[in-house]
Amino acid sequence: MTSGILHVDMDAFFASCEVARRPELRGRPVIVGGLGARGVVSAANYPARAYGVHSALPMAMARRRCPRGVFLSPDFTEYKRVSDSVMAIFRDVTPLVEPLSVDEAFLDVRGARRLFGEPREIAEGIRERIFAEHDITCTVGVAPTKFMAKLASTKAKPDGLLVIEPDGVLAFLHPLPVSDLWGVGEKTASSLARLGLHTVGDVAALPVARLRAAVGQAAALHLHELASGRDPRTVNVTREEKSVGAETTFDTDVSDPDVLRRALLELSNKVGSRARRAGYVGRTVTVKIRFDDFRTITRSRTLHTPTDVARELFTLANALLTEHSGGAALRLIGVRLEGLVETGRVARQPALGEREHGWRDAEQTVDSLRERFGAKVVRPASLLDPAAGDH
Amino acid sequence: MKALIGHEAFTEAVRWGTRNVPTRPTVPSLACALVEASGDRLSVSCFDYETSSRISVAALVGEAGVALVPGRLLADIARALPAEDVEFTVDGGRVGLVCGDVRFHLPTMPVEDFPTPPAMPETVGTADATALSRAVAQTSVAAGRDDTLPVLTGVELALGERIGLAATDRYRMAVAEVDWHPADAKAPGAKALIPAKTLAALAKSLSSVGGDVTIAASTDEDGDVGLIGFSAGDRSTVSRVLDGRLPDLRALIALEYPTTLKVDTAALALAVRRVSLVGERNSRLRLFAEGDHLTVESGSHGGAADGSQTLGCEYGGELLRLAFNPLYVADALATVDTPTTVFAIDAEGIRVLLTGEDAEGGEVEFRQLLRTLRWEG
Repeated sequence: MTSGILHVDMDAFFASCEVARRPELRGRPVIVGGLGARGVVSAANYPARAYGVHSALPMAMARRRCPRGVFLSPDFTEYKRVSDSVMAIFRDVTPLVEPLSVDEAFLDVRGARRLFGEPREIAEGIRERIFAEHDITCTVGVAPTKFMAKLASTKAKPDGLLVIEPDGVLAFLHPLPVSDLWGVGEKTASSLARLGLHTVGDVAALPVARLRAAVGQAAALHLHELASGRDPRTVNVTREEKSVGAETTFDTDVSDPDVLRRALLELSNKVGSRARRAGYVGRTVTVKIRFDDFRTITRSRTLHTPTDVARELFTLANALLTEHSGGAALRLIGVRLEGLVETGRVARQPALGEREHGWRDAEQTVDSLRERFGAKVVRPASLLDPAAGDH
Repeated sequence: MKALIGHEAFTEAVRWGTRNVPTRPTVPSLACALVEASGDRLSVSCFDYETSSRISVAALVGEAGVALVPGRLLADIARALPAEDVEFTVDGGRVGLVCGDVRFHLPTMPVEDFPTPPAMPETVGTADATALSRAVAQTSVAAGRDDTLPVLTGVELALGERIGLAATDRYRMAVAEVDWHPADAKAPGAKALIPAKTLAALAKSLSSVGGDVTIAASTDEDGDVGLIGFSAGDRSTVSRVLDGRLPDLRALIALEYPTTLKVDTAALALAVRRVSLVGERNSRLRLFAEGDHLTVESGSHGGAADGSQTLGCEYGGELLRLAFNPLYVADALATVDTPTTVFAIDAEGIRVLLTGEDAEGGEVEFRQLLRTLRWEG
């Protein structure tokens, strides 16, 4: 086993993209996120982090902590453009690229050594190229396994590189707190603490049987393997999209059924169109409902036949919302399509009374219109906003 | 209470009398069967708030009485008894069962805890058990299985001049008609929506008895049935019906289906089963017909796997292409009980009506309507 797995993680990606295209912001605290009354921080660059601003922080608090910061609303089109280009840099090095999100990926470079040199040199090359071409920094962890590579990049952030050689794995791993292990949340951590297990080394030294009693069979094996530096997962190029979803937080709590329905329709359209673009259909529709007291529930229902039709998503989502919201004031709603399969692998079963050209065709037409003329060119009539001059 | 019952009569009584004892009862007494001895009969009944079942069999009653006995346990014991007469006694709150060398003692529950099941409504007519059972089997297959849409999980019984049965999960529909003898010369015309699973199980056990089934129903002024009862011989059952009505898709059956194709039922069923081995769930089963040949194909060319079979058919037209959900075709063919199946196809190739040849006008008339899938490679 050699150290041939790279975990590349862009530093404060959204904020870095903003700074890269507006150099006057360099050195200033830049915070990207929802700017509405209830927005949260999506990304904060390192100058902003010095003020205690981090992602997932409510925007209002971020403004209090960092009054002189530059607050920007996210531009996903731009981030996607940069992301695609960064992923292309990875693929120049190896075909074995597993993107985890827009701003991080695993790379298996074991087959690239003859062409590009040792993993450390490859990692340095990638960092240099991304900086030269996009003016943003990233951190790379290099290790024999995915788990170790990810740990390494976390420890080396920001703008860093850390290589863990095979014979250095245990020395690096064992002093770390158990919460650094994948799959250990607060609950597992406290079960482990009750057994007196605080570091990864403690877990590795414990017989699996005793671990099993504390955290259950599956988790015990998983933790023991990780704690011993073993992680059998390979870099998976064809990582399947598991779900497509969208959610919205209201500026003020909403209980008006018409407003909720419109929001749900908009979310369903977004999810349907994303699923179609990605070439997936799904069978399970889940709605997420967050009440004004932050209590959050998700409820799902499974369709007879997989779909990517917004109209069908909406019908089901609306039924779920009506059934479970009970007319209460809501803070957030979300729609998610799960159980995805590639569209080409399943046939959509139309209902008996359905016409040959149904909603799906209409929605596909809308997709192509939007691609040509922009997102607002065609929308359901109920989503037109008279105040914005739509007619 | 003391009664002596023949072995077969006892096991049959327990089997029917515990048939809908709920697995997870809402109140403990519902997990019990009510056993009653009086005159020269022993009766066993149970009730799950949806359906009640009752049977009475001949018995030598020494002492009349009634007891509430754990239903599942009684059913398990009845199945395990040796082939000898059974002595059933209740003494001091305990049931005693003696069968040859075997003895069992079971606890009882207070009889007054057992809710009173609804009485058998008024008789509306009789039908041949075997014919009715066949029609139920042919239609219940098309009922939905999604409990969030309860209406679609039912089979609709329309009590007219004939009994019309219909079921649909919105993607396919099965309809059947069966002869009966309405009690009133003027047919009542009432409609009842009965859970397909309940009805299918019931029809199957009633047809094993043979003879006639008596149908009973209580209707409101709109002709909607509230309770429906079936009895045959010593057995009876009364069910609540589902609320709501099936979506009215029958009009689709009356549309024009100008193209017909006839094919051997068993041969096509076998071909579908064969080629479906390479088809994934929710994939397409493709049928091509041209002249006197029908090709059944599944899987994807150049994909993981594909398979096809060509068989003879009576068609004669130009190239016809139909794609179906493979499961629906298999289900539909399994319900055709004539040697030849007729596909009647509408002008757009969107809907296909499947029947058995010569089934129309017969004792049982049956048709299944399928919605084709869009033809894509």
